[in-house]
Amino acid sequence: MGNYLLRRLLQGVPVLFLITAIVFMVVYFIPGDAAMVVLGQSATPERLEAMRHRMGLDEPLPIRYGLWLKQIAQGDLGQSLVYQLSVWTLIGRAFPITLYLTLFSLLIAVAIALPAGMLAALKRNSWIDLVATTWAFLGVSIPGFWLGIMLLIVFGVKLQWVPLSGYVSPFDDVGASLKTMILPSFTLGVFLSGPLTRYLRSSMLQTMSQEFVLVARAKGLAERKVIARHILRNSLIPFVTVIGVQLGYLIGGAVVIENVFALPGVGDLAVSAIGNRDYPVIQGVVLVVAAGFVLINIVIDVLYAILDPRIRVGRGAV
Amino acid sequence: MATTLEPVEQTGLLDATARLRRPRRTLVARMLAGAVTWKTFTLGLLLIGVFLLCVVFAPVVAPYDPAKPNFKALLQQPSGGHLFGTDDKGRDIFSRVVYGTRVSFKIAVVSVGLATLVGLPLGLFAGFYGGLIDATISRLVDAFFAFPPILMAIAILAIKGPGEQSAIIAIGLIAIPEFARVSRSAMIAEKENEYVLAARSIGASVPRIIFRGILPNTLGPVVVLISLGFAFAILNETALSFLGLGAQPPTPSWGADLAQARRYIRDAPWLSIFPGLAIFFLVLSLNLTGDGLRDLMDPRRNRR
Repeated sequence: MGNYLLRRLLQGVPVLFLITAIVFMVVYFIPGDAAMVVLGQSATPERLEAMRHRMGLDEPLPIRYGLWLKQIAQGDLGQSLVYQLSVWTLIGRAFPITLYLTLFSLLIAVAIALPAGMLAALKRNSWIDLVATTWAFLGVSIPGFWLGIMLLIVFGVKLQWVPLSGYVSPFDDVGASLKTMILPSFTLGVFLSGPLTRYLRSSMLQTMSQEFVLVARAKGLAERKVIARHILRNSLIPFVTVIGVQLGYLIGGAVVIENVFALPGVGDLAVSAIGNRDYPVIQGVVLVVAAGFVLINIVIDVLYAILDPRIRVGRGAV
Repeated sequence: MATTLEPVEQTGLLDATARLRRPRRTLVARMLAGAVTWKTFTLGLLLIGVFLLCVVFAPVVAPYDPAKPNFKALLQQPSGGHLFGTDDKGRDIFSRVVYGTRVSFKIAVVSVGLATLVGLPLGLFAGFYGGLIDATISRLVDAFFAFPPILMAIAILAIKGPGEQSAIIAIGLIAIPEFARVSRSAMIAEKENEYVLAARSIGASVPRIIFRGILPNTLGPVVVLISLGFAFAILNETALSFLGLGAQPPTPSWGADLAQARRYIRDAPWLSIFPGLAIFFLVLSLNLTGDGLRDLMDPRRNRR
């Protein structure tokens, strides 16, 4: 097991390295002068030159990349050019909100997909199956930001059950916090529930046609036990991996949904940083999210290996 | 053969009983499933056709100039004169939705084209050669997969600055990994065939084997990928425009118009309904077509 963990972690290293290179290149090519962002349009050429030198902007590309790598290896993402704050501070403020939104919507998506996918597979070709597959299909076709606006019109404007915008921390007021987060989380969760339902359905159908299910039935196990112990358990493993893969889309979706509901999360931070040309912030946000995504997938692979011993031995995972 | 009973291998017996237990689908059931597939596929194509008509004949279909303000008709509700109502500058929403197809189609077609032109050869070569080339390309694709698509697009838009052209590049780039991955696995499945060996043995060049021999045989998954890629591109394009990073006003654009409409959800909620419905129906029709194609091309899949 330790061996597998080590191998999987080592595989993540080149990917993380490439990610830093991509992030660095993206920011390197951003037009506009970082020194001018700091000093303002009216700065004299001499002061700009001095600032460029201080920020290391006059060094050649590979040296700048090396310096930056050294800096982030020490856990320093730099300072925002616009706010007098470190990038970590800004991310630290915004990230919990995005995490809250992501986890809440994941919960909603699983709460929809688990029963929907299960029932659709067990009652294949029935009306339940039709409803579940149609739901899955509509879920991935509805643009999330539009669904969010429609829900706001119904529950915010007409029924006035929820506020139209704003964020309340759950540590201040749990009820009010849930009220502000339920619509964004549902919006995001609907989108994710589509693919999750489809995966669970087809993975259960596949498991149901396996011989060990036949054996379980043949030895006289109650149908409930066959489903819970044999079919569902074996179908949940690929389901968990799919959740990991979909997390990237979930975070991407969160960027847009935060905008609809005016939540001050990571997406909001990134979008406003583009407007301000605050590139250490863009760099920091993209890097932290991508690195987090790689780590989550490693954790999921390891979990997967704990659940299914076949993965640890044998073929080097691709 | 002797009449003595051979000990039946356990798996063989199970295999046989499993086959007995699993009822064969009757001819009628199979035809029905096929008809459903055909129906969704045709419905999808028909809807796409309607949108294409709007793209080509926008000036004929739209009753008003989509960009011309009319200060005598601000924020009007849907009526006979203005089917979908008017926006805060008195512009006709229906005309803007019709013209909005043009921007969305343009961005989607060019970005999917870009993703195909770059991603497809990358994946085909990786799958064909294997080894170090495959490992390098695959790791690169892995790294790109680590970026949530919209976030990657935002980072790219930060370089290029907001606008249509930047949106095309951003959406195309974030689709490349998927194209490379699918074509790579299609290639790996296909290259073991004997005709490839035959082509090699008569001395055909590698590009010839890949593009003339193997590519036509892997078109199934590629065509499906392209049609689903369109759906993905439209969703991303409208999302980026909604964030103010895509097509810029006053160009009629569904995403940008929705961002404007978001300000009037109290006083004029109808502004938000129609551009979103347009996106929904277009994405739905692309998904229907893509899924239908996949089922039609792969008889083994019979409507999973």
